Amino acid sequence: MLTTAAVAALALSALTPIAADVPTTPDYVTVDVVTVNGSGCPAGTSAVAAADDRTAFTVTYSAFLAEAGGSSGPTEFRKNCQLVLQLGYPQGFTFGISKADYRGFAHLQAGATGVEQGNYYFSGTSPTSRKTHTFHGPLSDDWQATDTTEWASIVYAPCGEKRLFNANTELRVLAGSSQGTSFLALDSTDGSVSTRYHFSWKRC
Amino acid sequence: MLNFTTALALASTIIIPPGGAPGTTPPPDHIVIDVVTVNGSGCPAGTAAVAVSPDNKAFTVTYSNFLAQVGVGAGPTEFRKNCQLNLRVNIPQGFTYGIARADYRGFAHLEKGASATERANYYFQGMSPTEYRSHPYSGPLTDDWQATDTTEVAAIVYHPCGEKRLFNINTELRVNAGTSNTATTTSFISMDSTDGSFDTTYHFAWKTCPA
Repeated sequence: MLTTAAVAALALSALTPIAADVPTTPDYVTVDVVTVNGSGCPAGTSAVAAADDRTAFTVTYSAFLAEAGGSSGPTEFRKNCQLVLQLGYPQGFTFGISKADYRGFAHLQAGATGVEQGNYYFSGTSPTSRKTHTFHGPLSDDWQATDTTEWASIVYAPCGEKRLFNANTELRVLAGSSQGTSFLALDSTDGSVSTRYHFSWKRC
Repeated sequence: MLNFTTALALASTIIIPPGGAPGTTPPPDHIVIDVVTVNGSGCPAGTAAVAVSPDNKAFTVTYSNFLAQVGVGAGPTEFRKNCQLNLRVNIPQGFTYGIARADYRGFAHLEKGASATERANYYFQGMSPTEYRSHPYSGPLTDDWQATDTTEVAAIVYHPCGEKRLFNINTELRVNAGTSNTATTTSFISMDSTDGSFDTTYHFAWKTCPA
């Protein structure tokens, strides 16, 4: 009935392949990271750690930093990193909620602004959900932001189609009236899916 | 219900699906996509990642350095970058296909007076007809952009029935400085991702061959 198994091997990250077979239909939703790529996470700069039960993962970054002002290059004020995720769930899945936690550091001069924005969509569909978190200088401290996203099953009709879920995170720094260098960095992204009450089921 | 299998092999990313390794000959009623190559000035080796959906009807390519720019810090040839996707699509007998839609997403920073274009060319290897779609953007602009190509089924290039050929999608980004001051400013456009898919709801349409 269900073949949700996915084995993804990423040369650019340390993703450990999950077991290739799911013996029985899971009564929960799983998430696997298929690819990690973007201007903020080029090959070799990110690492993926998946939870044993495949309901959560952590991506860490070594060079996801946007900067403006001072000696910053003119295209350095915006960086992105896109996670392509495969969700596993029984047929008839209708909707769900995903949650993502972002943690990083900001050094913003007075007058500068930093923005963390999460863009979420299913491959093959145009609608994009955006969640934005804004930070204002002066600031020189760690930051944390949480996004909760819903997605509707209507994009899945007819039953049996399965799409990749995309989470594209971007960082922007606007120098504004500030002097000196301002930057916004992302240390980690934690994603999770939960079925406790976030998912309902529908017969195909 | 069809049980699609996916075989995808790429230098930077390898996905081995349940049901077979890349290169396995598909049963007649199965559809198999091979992303044969991803290459171009905007996506040299190691900068692109490909993922194919479990139902084999959609794929996503992400880029780490697909950016065209003009002005301060930009070389004279950097105003145009491209990335060409070369796809092998194996189709069951009796069907032919053409692209119906594709989604492009990225970011643009254009100074006042500058402009940019995202353009995609679609064609079959060995056939001269080329379909292309362009999406222009004008400065001042500093924001994400998204473009969707919807090709009329009647206007698309059809794959010859019973043959297997490679399908090419060549995307390009261009920036024109226009009246903006390139001595003091930089304008650029970048692409984060390209999404394509394989049914009439999305990017590829299907047509029954004449009896």
